Amino acid sequence: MPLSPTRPRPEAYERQRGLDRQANILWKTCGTLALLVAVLCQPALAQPSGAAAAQERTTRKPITAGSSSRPEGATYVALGNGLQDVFQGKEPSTLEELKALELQQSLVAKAIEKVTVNVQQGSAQGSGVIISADGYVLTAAHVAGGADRPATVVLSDGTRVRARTLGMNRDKDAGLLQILDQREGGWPHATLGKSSELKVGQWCIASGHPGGWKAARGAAIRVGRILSISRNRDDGEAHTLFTDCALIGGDSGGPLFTLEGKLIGVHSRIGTDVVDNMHVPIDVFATSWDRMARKEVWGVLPGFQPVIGVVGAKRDERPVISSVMAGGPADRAGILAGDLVLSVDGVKITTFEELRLAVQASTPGDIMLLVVQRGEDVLRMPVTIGVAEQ
Amino acid sequence: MKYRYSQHGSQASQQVVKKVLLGLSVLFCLAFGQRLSGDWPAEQPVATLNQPAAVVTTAEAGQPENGQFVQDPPRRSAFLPDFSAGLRHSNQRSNFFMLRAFHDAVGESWKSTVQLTSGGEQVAFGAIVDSDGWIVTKASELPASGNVFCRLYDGTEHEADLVETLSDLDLALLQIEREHLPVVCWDASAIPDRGRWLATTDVRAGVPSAVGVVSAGAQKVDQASAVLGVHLVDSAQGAAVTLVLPGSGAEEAGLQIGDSIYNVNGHEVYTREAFLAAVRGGVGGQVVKLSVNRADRKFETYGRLMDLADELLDETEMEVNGRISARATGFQRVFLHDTVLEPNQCGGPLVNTDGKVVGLNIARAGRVCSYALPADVVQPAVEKLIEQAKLVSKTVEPESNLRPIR
Repeated sequence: MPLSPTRPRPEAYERQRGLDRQANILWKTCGTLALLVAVLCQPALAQPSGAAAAQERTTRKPITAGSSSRPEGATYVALGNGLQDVFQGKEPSTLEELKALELQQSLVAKAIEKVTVNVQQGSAQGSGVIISADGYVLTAAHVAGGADRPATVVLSDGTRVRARTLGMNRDKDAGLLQILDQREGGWPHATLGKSSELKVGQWCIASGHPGGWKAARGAAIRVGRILSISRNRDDGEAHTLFTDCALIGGDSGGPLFTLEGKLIGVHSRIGTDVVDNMHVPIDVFATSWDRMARKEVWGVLPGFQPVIGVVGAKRDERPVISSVMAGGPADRAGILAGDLVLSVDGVKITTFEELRLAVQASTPGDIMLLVVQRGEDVLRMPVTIGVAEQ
Repeated sequence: MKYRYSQHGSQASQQVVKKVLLGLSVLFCLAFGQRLSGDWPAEQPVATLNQPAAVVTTAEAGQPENGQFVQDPPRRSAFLPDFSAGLRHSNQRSNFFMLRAFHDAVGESWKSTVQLTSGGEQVAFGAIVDSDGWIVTKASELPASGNVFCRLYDGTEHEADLVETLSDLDLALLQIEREHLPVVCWDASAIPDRGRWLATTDVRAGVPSAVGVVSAGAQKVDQASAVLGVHLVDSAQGAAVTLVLPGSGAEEAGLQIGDSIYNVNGHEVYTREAFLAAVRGGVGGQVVKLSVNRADRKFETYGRLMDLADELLDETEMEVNGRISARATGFQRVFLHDTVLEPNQCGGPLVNTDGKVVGLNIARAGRVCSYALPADVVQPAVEKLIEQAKLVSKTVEPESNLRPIR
């Protein structure tokens, strides 16, 4: 029976308070492709870094090579002796197994620290994971916010680097960004796994920046197991992993690894119960890669429909608010029924439909500046975009 | 679904239920699960426990059943999901088999864990730090009034005296009249690496009450100011409540939207500002007396202040973070682990897979994080406390060194 999360709750609510949170990564699976990626990146590296170079690189798809002896990436940790059963999803049955498991966990925890990053985009903070030497970073769509936006990536040592958001698959909450700067020797990046090979019960290790970037803490490690995998009805592809690696705002976009240190998912959302934690499977990033790299944005984030809580007449010549939902974002901002909306974020609008479209294009937590006319007065009203009730 | 079960046997019986679940067919479970979970025979360690009569008469929450005390409803602890969730979560990292896997790792070290109860309910765990009956626990979880009982590994229960508290560490030193007790075996050499297992031991043999891993190393947690957990606006009747944070002291006190608070600890408060002034300077865990006006009916209630971090001051946050310790900020040096604890499971030893005590659980701080004082902080502090206490108890009248908790 698929685990039905109790009220999936996008973690980006913190945006509303400008707090930090969330982000994640993703990537495509396929095992090892380091060599191929490295080769592909050479020309790009030679170019001056900048938008053109970034554009060029985004068209390349870090893809898998055949499976070699050792998977490419900085996070792979060969499975310790005697851990085969545990790796397949069993509980350790002896003290030796328990100790082998914890050694494995601590090695992976150490290895994934360098690839786990904090992502700051607009007023939101989340996590992310670097997945290629040329700085592709997987994150959650709700962390990336929108396509082609400037973002800041904070590395494990506190270094801040510039990044740009690429595309996002909002249906699955998968987002992609790229670090604009290059680094000699390439960025430390995660070894990619395949979510299609996962089994319920398998152990996994999550990292991220719960509550946002905290210098004294760095990425926080959690260990859990895969509780269930939800699949599409049609093609059987996994669209959500459920684990008991506890997540909270700020973790969104952070990576989920196997005991071998292979990236298998990106944190996305949570339910009220501490064991309801949802991750975007890595394979989703693989199938969405081409479109995301082209900076396409598609789909609707589950439970992430932006609203401001006003009603108006669609056919009205002028965007007049006919009623305001009590306690909604517009109400809290002080907008009243009868207000005439003149502009949204500096762009003049002339129909209620335009207002509706502007809200739809926004992300919950964003602050939208409405200029309204009330009687003789013209008022500037910043409205914090809310989330539609499901 | 609701359980009724004896408090002390609850986790054990849930585990038994779970074992049954796992071992037998689903059908069987569906047919008999309810009965099993409700009235599982007390063949667990619970049968050996002698609940003092005094506790029975003072407890209000439950009623005696087979000589045992029942708590209704139970606190649902996330590592042991309720029965209906048993099947879907049979792979949880903290399932029965996993807890059992720690049996050998914990070894004998669980014996220096104590369970502290008041009014028949667990208020905290504690650690035996001296064989002459000295016990250390989390101070702010102890009740402001009423006796505290201390249950030991051998099933015996003793009334505990509060001897001393250390407010900066939120530690309390208790004493019971026992000698030759097994003392915690500290390992103060280093905080374990991230990803290493930690077991929160229990007074029951065999399995810990919860397990988790180290999430992050030593760090400072800044003190947040204590709040009751209400949003207020000024009104004619006093400071009117417009929002009650779930899980806060305000909710515990039964406050509702629309209530007006007009008196705090004997100070009249007719405005929001006055209320804030009255609460300001309070500390997490402190209980304040509130006079409330609800639709012109006046009553008094008690609310516990919590030093909630800023990011928790939000309805949604409080809901997803679950129950949080009233005192969960203001520590100079703690390390973080991901064990899912209830606030009343703090105060006891945190054991590594070598059976050594590497820290003391000091707070449940949120959904992803519990705090532990490292052994290198607790051990010297406790030794100093005991030294002082022993000195004082030789030279001063016993009563004079008993201090109120808060």
